[in-house]
Amino acid sequence: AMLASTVEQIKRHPLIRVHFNTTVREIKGFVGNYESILSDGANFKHGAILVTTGASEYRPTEYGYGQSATIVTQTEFSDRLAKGLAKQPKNIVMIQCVGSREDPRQYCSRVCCSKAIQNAIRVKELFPAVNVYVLYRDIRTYGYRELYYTEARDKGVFFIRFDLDHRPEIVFDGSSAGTKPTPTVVIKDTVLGQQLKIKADYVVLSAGIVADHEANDALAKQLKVPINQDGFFMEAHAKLRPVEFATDGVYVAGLAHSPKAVEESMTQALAAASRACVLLTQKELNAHGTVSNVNPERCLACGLCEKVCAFSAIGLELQRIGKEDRLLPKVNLALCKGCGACAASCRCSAIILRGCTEEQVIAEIIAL
Amino acid sequence: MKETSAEWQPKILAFLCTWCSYAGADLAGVSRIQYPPNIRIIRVPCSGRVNPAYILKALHQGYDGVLVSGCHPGDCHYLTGNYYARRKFHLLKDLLDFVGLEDGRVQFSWVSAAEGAKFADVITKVTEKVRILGPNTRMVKTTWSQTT
Repeated sequence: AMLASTVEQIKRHPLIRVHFNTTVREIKGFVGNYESILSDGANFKHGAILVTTGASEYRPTEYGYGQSATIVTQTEFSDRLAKGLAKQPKNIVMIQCVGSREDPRQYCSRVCCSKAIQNAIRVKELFPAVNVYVLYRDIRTYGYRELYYTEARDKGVFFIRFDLDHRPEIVFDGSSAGTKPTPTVVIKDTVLGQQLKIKADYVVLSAGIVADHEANDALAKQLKVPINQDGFFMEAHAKLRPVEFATDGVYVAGLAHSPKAVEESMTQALAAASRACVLLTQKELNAHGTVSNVNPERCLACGLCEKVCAFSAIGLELQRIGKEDRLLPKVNLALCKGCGACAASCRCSAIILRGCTEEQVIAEIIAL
Repeated sequence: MKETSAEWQPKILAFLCTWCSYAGADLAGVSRIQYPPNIRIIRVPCSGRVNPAYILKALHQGYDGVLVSGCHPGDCHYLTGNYYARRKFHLLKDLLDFVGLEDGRVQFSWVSAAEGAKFADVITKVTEKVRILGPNTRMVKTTWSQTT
């Protein structure tokens, strides 16, 4: 409902075309000059690519998730709160950092503490007599959300700290009739120094944000952009180039890049669109002069240059030299960054890197 | 400190990558950090630009030592250049060992643009090592003239 007007705007906009349930079969070309083929057969040219493929909620395997209808994730709990809880609960236990801040995902998922506290406050408003326990390692209510943490404390939400060596345990009480086991949460309170056993009407797991590592990997290979070890797309520079990649022409925003709140995604998306516009408003792109050049007389077409180029800027192609067709490397001047990896790998000295040629280096060696 | 002209000084060639090692050297200079003056620097865009043949050429020319320095793994400005440099260096080292060049004449390092002090440290260590090894006699190109 919140997005209804935005969706309408998108549908009516003459310059926006939405393809539902399609994947990108192939992307050819380079910055300013892409041609893409989609799985529904659509084929079109474009100048830039914006990656906003998002991420998903972690599906917990720990803390008894799946073994009881009352052990849920924060998003599932939000749904239930919105629909209305069946009966007045007595105890609600929330467990933070589920699937985050420990191997195999060491990162913080950023939104879960805020969400948990938001839900905790909501519960307290609906049922002031309920005991709400938030079991945490650290509370990370970023920015102004810290005020909600204060509010939660004021409203009487209990915060119990634990560490990785003393995790909460979910014990199932066999006494309730057959179908629905009631979870009891066992946790050592570090302040009291004692163990607490809380019979929970709901155990709400603050499940983190996970990247679709496989899908992102596949897309990254198509676009020739890097993925970090957690499966998220990696920007060119965290501070100086936060919405672009080292490969020109591709931009990123939102959860595809890293866990973040909705307004942060929106801000990043606006930034990425701006950066894409900087590219798209130019009629021509100037390539910097320090690019590679191939000497066809020396080239053996071994393909080593193509293998070592990190920017896919050089590749073997059939070219007409004089009267014959030969397989020779072709340099894409828009993509070549002038690093010289190709020139250094060429065993025939067939590649000339303008600005740092072999002759120049040898001359320096002799002269110095 | 004054050296007499007869006393041999190591002559070391250093290939520094533009984005990290050269900037690190620059920082060492700006910070007025002292280090031995025995290196001659060739700035390359990336440590991956260095063809092992250049290192051999330098040794033929009479340099007593060669240093190749690049960005830390994962930080290469050109993404993967330093990885290729490391692999090439590894293979070259095997070849040089086989050929009989003393261990320590050809060295490889990672120095970032913020590591001025580390750069000075690396140069000091490399120079000392080469000084101990003495002049390069095994791979320097020599010509003899025959007198009748």
